[in-house]
Amino acid sequence: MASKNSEVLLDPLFNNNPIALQVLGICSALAVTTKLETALVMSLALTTVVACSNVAVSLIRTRIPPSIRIIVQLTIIASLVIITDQVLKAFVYDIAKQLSVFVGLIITNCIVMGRAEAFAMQNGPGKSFLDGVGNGLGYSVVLILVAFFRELFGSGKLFGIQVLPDAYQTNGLMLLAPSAFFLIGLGIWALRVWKTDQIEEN
Amino acid sequence: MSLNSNSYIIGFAGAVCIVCSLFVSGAAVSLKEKQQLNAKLDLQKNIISVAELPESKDIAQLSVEQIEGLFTESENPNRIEQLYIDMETGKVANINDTQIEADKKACAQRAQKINKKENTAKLSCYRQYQDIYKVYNGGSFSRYVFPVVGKGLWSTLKGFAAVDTKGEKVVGLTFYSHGETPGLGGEIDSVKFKGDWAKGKNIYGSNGVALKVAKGAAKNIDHEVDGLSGATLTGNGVTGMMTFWFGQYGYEKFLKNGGV
Repeated sequence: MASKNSEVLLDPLFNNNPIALQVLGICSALAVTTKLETALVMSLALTTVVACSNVAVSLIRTRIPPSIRIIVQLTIIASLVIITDQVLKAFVYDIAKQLSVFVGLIITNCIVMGRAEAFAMQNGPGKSFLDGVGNGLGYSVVLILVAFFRELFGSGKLFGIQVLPDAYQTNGLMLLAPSAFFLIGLGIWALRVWKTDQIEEN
Repeated sequence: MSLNSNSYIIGFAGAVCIVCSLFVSGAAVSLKEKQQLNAKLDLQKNIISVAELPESKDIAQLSVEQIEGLFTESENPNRIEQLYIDMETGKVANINDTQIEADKKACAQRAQKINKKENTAKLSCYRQYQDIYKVYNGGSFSRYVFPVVGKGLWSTLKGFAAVDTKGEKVVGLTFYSHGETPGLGGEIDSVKFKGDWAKGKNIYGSNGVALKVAKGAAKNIDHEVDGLSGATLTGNGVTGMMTFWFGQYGYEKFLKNGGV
């Protein structure tokens, strides 16, 4: 457990990506990636929640009674998510409306819970914070990549601004959930060609 | 004390709950004002979107002042005027804020008085005084905007219907709040569905309100819009909502009185 801070922060980006390797948090990765704008806000929200929940859980980790530790973690995560939702509604109302239930569903996002249980319960607050930010960024990388391709080919736009010429026939499939599966699958393939140690043994 | 003793566990759980609830309620209370302002602006933007003013084309570019200006500046040639009408008489009502608040509190009781069969919008809240909007484009009265509410499949649909000056046709429909399935019922928010309504649909047929979301393609395009595939029940919800709000409990009296 004596890994270096830089590893804790950067490993989840490609070496141990929560979506691409652990295949967690797929639900929201399908739902909020039709536009870059919503994907970006969702990424920010999730990163904030994982980082804060990791710190909070880590701070009280030696005092949490083992028999109720999951419920304590969930209470903390749920509170953070509600606060995030309130902040989004106050400052970026339109995007909060588009994200609708998915901000609330961060509570059930396995990444948050998984990091609290697997990392923050064993490590100090500083490292847990980095781990949270790292995993949040790992999630964000995938989300933003998927959203980039979906918005570009699905509506010919990026951040709502037309980039492809009008002659381009937009691909409706890219706006539907299955296309995110295809893109994530292709992404995992590309990642495993690059990092061969992620290939599972038969 | 051991981490496993019952009293410690209960005490710890209690402490976590109290701390968390303080944070949550703190955030909710301190941000409430801003959220309410946002919600109000969102409503106004939706009204503008069916008002078909020159400003409606690019609502995202409007500043807060411009939006509020449309609703408050009485000298503005393009403006939207809010009125209250009495749903029992169909006439304009001059009422004050306290009456509006009292009316809102009594709305659940009023909804129960509606005959179940006639409550096609399945309302659980029905106010006596309803706010409506008159749109002026270039100084002349161009259309009405009426709030409409009704039950869809999963959720309550809330929106605005625009009606021409004679009170004969629906010329626009938009929803600012619904929780229908994205991609299926959620398509009531789509450009296509809204565009169908914007073509103009005659409200009244030989048997009262004839507005309808068809199953499949619309057969009687005078009154009907194309259905949404995979969302028959949401479509039925919209039909029920329109039937209610343009019927005897809705704006019918007001429109038949010649409006204002």
